[in-house]
Amino acid sequence: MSTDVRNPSREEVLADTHETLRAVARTLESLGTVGDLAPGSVLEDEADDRAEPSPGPAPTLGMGLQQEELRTPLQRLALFLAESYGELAGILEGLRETRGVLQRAEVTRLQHMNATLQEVSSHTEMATTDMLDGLERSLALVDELELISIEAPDEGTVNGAQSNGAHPPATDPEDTRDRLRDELHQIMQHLQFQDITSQRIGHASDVLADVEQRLVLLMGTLERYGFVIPEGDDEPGEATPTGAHAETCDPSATTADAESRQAMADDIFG
Amino acid sequence: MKFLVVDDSPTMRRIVVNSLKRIGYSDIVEAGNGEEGLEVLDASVEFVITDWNMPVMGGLDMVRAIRSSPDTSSLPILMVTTRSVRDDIVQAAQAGVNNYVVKPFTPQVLKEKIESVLEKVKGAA
Repeated sequence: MSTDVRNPSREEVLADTHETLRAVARTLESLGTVGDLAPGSVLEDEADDRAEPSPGPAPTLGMGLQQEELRTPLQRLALFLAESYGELAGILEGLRETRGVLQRAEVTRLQHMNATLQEVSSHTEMATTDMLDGLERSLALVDELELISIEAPDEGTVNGAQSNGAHPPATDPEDTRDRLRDELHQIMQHLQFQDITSQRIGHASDVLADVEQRLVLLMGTLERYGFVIPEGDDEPGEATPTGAHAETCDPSATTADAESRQAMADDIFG
Repeated sequence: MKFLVVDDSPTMRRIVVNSLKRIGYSDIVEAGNGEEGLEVLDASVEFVITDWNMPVMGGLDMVRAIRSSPDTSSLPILMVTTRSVRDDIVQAAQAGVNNYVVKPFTPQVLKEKIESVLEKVKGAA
């Protein structure tokens, strides 16, 4: 089991594990050979080991040479198994760490993106409501103008009538037209939300593409460790290049607090 | 006075153009990014209104290019953008932007900033 504080690379862990398992296989193979041996005979490489002091307990009374020979490989097998366990624990730890990084980074980003999209949705609805309100007021002003034209088909007559005091118009048609013009211009101004929301959505799209690429990398890593990734019903699409909208999007674009943000710009530009 | 309006969003260009017309400026040319803006920029353009975030060439790079050319170095430039972080605004000022309008804006704010820039440019001349 590695005690190195440095995180080994996937390739190192894999190579170590492979080597350990090969050692286990060799030991198992030698165990099988020892079991087939006649009492008193030993493997050539085991003969060298016997010269060294055995780390295991001393053979008990009645235990033959074959059992003693058998015990040493068993102890070595236990050691190799412990090492294998350690390597596997290292792999699991690496996977846990990967999962932790993904959870910390991606979940936060996705939550932020979710909040962004909710804000976009909210602002879209607000802008739409404002435009509908403006259209309703505009329609009311058109009705008002129509009423004025019915009451006084000739605008000159209206002014003349007003000056005579015979039929004073409820509203000055010029004033009504100005109000209508203002309403229509305001509706156009509300359409600025389109630019702002498109930038936010573009940024969210970049985040999704980035998360997609990270998941593809993770899947590749898991597959190298032998994990089977279930395939979806559909063929996975080609990953969108990360940051496709980076140049054209302001991630912090918002329709909120325009006045205070403008005040900060005014402060800087004097 | 002839204006150059540079923005990658056709909607925003229409809104800016409409606002300019409303406040009395009707001689306007348009461009979809900084590179296009530099292409249509000629001696007849007297005022530039530009967005920041655009493909191909952003507004800040276009401003730097305009300031680096002797023919256009003193051209009034107003930046109209969603970017409203203090560092961004300072960066725009350092690049040579004369004034700054944060989106969403009103025609009144646009008018005030244009007049403010023109007054300063006139005062400097």
